[in-house]
Amino acid sequence: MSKVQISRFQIILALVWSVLGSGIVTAPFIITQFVIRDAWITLILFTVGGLVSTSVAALFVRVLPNRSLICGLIDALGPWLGRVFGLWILVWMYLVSCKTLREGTSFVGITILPQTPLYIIAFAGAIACSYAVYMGAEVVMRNGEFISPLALIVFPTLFALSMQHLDVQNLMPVLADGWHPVLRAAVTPDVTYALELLIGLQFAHMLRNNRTLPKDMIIVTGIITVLGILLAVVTVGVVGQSAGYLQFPILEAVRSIRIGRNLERLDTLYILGVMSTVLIKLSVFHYAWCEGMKDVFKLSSHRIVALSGGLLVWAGSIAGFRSQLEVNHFMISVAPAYFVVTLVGIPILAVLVMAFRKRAKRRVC
Amino acid sequence: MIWLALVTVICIAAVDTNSLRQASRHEITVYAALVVLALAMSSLVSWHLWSDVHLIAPFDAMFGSMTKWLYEIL
Repeated sequence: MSKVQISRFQIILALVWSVLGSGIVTAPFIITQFVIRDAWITLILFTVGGLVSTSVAALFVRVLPNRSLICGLIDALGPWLGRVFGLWILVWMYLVSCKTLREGTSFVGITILPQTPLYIIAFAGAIACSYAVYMGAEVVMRNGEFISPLALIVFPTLFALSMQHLDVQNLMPVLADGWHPVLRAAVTPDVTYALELLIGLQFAHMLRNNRTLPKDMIIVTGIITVLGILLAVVTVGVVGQSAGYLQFPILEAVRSIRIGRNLERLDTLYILGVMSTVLIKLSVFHYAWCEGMKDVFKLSSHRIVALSGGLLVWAGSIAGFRSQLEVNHFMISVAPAYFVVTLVGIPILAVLVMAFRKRAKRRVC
Repeated sequence: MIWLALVTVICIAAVDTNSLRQASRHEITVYAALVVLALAMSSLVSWHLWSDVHLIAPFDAMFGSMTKWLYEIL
């Protein structure tokens, strides 16, 4: 079987959509619970979280080159302890997949399919992603490549059109309430979502030169920061203080678009775009999970768990997160510390142990 | 939901027939464990037991207070 290889362009797109995919659905609601006028400042701080993720990735690929995250843990910490930490990471990937599917399901259910049972919507999403994962990494990455040109046309058009209702006064005065609400609002997008970039480590061994991964993560951080600031400025500028009462503030900004007398409801395009990106994120995380299962349980192929794992993600998205409120609670009150421990603590531990072992081996020689 | 889960289990078993025939015993064990977990979660929802079971509670207990502390220092 030939070695799976992905390009730098593919990993950049996959990481951009992996953060924006569900970030565009849930993050605006979470930010507006703390701050509205200064929401754009919280997204400038995404660079800090992105650089922390990049630093962890740089250390990991330097000390454990040409290995996926879970393979690196097993090599550094030994077959038993490495597998225990690998399982912990697998649970994290599974929870993120369930959360992402639940976010996508709620979004579609609330916006376009209010009469359809949520488990049917979730089922359609899970089957699509599981099939993409079953077909392999190339299909998962090609999805990102396919959707990006469409997104490059649709999203800028929608936001340019919604700017006709933008009122700069909605963004003033800047920092009137000080830095505290801004920093609290920044925790979820700039810690939780920024650390999700580290899913790239699970694909590191598929890159021709995995030392380029940190550079790619810096590019992704820059793209997401710029897009995030633009989204925040347009959304708050259009929707104003009422953004604090809306589950999907960006959707409301898009809904405000009317061209002439007849052309309206362009939000359908936005909803289609969000659905696509959520499914790309889900495919990326599910593929990473399947590859991790292969390494931890010594499976012959990721395909063995692609469909059955997809079924588990579907069931977990409904049984684990009983409502969108629970997703919001998880993202605000649980995920920041959970993600820091899992995505900073465990890879750094593996890096330290591996560096210590290498130094000890050199001394013996 | 449990009916949809059962039908899907049969369908994916049909799709995976070739892989499962060549699979080793521990691979089939992993596969079966995932399917059983999925069916158990589906039955929780179908039989309305999910309101009593909070699957995310352990994570809430472990990391809720740490996150709260993070917000407090900010």
